[in-house]
Amino acid sequence: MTHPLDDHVRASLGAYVLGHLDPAEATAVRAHLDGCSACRAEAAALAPVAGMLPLADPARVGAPAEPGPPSDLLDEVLGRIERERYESRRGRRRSMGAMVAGVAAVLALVVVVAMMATDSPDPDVPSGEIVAMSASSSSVIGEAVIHEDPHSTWVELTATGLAEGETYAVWLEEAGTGARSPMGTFTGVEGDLYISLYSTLPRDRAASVGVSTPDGVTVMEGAIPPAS
Amino acid sequence: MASAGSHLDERGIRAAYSAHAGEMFGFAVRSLHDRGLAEEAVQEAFVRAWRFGDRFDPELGTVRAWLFAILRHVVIDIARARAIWPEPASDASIERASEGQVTPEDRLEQALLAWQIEEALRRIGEDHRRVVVETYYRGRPYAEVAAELGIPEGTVKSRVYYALRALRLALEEMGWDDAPAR
Repeated sequence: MTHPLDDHVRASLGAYVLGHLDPAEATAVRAHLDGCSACRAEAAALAPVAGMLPLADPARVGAPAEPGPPSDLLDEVLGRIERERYESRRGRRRSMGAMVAGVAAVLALVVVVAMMATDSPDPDVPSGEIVAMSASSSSVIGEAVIHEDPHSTWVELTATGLAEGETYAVWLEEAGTGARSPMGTFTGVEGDLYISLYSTLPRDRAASVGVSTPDGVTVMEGAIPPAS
Repeated sequence: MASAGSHLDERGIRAAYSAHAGEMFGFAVRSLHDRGLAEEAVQEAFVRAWRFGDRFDPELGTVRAWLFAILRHVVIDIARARAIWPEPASDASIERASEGQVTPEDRLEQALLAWQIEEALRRIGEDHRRVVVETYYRGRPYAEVAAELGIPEGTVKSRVYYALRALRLALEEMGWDDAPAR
């Protein structure tokens, strides 16, 4: 592919893009470039580099390099990462604490273990499956996150628009039987509500998750997709 | 880098820090003219790199390019917040800059380019750097440089060519991309 003229012109391309060639040489290079796409591409690759040279201060290049960052900067970075990780865990614990206050009663066979999640050895919050809840009233919006535990199902529920002071029950509906397995009750609060509940009903037997009033009227419900 | 997989976790951050923090700090000092602010910038860049570590995709570029992209944003944020702007890189760039309207962002962009080309000049071999400094920055005739170095004039010329190629490679390693915003 390369022929001798290419080699000769190539060696001049640096001087060419820097504008160092005398007019006759520059004309010869230009003539070659017109007919040689490989050399043209090479010149095009070098031109922006030549264009950057005026920005540099050559004295700075020769000067001793700026001393590096202080030796404790890495520790500060890692410290901030650690703090940020801790803060995100603590923020989570706080919202769960608020939830515990809202829970009015706990039914048999149902364990409300709000703090359990934060005590898990893995600092990263386990990701669950988001279930959109459809509500009976347009003012109610809710969403559940379903987590699978070995012998139970953990549900995190967020909702707004529920009546303040009203008692609500959370349940899982069993696939096939349609039986509602109660998870616990809570009292509606103004604003955002966050609830975390456990059920002994295994995740793969739960067909839906819902919230209802004590007299059994469903206020919101969402289908749980079949376990993969 | 040491960390496996695409996630830049804490271990990945340590490895990335030992490989690139020095350079990043150099760029930050060059841009912000203040070692304290530069420390702040580098620290923030690594924390953001950790925070968004799952967005790092090694198939799209090197860790270094990714870190520099983050650092650039951080430096801009700090410079904006403090209303400080980098000084023009050199006299030549003042001349060129004065030809048009120069925004503070342009100046930061120029500072980045200036730092990159200076860093690239530091990285290439001494023989290559020397011919660029003599012929380009000192504007000396090739014949004179050839005589001084005791090599044929043609060799000076081809050395200039290989020097520019080496500079380009060094720039690419630093995450420079070929579309300077100028």
